[in-house]
Amino acid sequence: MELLRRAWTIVWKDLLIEARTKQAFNAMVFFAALVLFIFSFALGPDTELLQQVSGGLLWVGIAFTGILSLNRTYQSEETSGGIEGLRVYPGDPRAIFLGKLFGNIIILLAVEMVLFPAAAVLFQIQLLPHALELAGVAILGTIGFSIVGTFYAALTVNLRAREVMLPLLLFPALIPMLLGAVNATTLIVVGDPMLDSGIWIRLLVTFDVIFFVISLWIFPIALEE
Amino acid sequence: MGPNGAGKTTLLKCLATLLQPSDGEGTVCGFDLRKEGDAIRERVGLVTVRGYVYDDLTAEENLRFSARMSGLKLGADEYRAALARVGLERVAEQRVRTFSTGMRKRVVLAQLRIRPLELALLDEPYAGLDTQGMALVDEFVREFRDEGTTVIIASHQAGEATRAAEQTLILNDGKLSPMDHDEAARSHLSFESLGAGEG
Repeated sequence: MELLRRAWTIVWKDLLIEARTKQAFNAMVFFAALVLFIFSFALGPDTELLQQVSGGLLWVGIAFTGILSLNRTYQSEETSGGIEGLRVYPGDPRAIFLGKLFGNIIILLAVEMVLFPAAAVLFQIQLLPHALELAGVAILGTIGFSIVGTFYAALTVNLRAREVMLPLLLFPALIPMLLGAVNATTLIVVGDPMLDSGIWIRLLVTFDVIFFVISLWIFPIALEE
Repeated sequence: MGPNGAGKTTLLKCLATLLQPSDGEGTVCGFDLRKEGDAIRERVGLVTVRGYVYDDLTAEENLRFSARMSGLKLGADEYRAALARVGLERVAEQRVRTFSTGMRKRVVLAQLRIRPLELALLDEPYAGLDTQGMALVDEFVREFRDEGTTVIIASHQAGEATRAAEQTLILNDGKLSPMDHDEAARSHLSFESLGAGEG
């Protein structure tokens, strides 16, 4: 309980600072919109093609945009003495991981609330009939992305080339999650008469659970200098 | 005391369990430095040169964050009282970004005083403070002493650091050695003039 209370304190602090500065959210929304625009123009006006690849385009946009948020996860601590400023307090260091994880999930989901309607307009997707299923996939995918991303961001925070190292380490680890999220999203958008999306959603759930347990377990080691 | 680069900050961070010693063993407040970091952090407070405060939080929000992370549940009055204690009650609602170095340091001192400590580690606590601020640090050190809290001050300036101290040690080339405390307390000169040149 104390672990969650301290994690929530970090979420409160991070979201309060983000609400005041809007540095991450604004940059992410503009970047995500730009990525979708570029894909939309590159593929042309073929509606059927756009819908077929919409799942992939959306998740590439989310992954690229998410990197911006992940890079800021621990850098935002720099004005207060770095991650050390969180480690100085007593208690389980896993609270830092949970706090940063919840914060990343909330910010990324907020960006997706802008990204999905934008994609619906650009790729001519009917969102409303599939809103619940798409929301489920978006939440599971975002949780998976944030778990692995928050962990790797802690590993790379003290590296000089962290902006390059984070995506290099992160994207290979995200392949199962991206496979699940892209296929589930595409099947929901274009129609899923055989209910194949269930397999991909189960993959997403499995990915989330496995990586959450592993990351939480070894996070204190990743924090050691 | 010690010259720049002697390892004063590193030593304090090791005592606060933020850094693992590369060699050797030790205990802080009776707990193993390598294995019982959490128990040590519950009893030890560390003030670094910049302090662990967030520019985009107000002074009161910084205190609240610090208290909650330390497992304390304080009321709004208690935060205000802590800020009044360091002379910041009027700017409690202002973001730390707008504060001078001295005011920022006062927020850090207020953070240190909101929880009971067995050991307070102060790294260059007088840096950037005006006369009033320095007197406040001295007062805090005396209060800690009266409460039975041990205070370790790391500094490269002799006079200020030893004013409120009972014992003075020199850290140079990785070794701690005692120095005449009265001589250090009387001196207002820098470390180098006390006979232990730059390391």
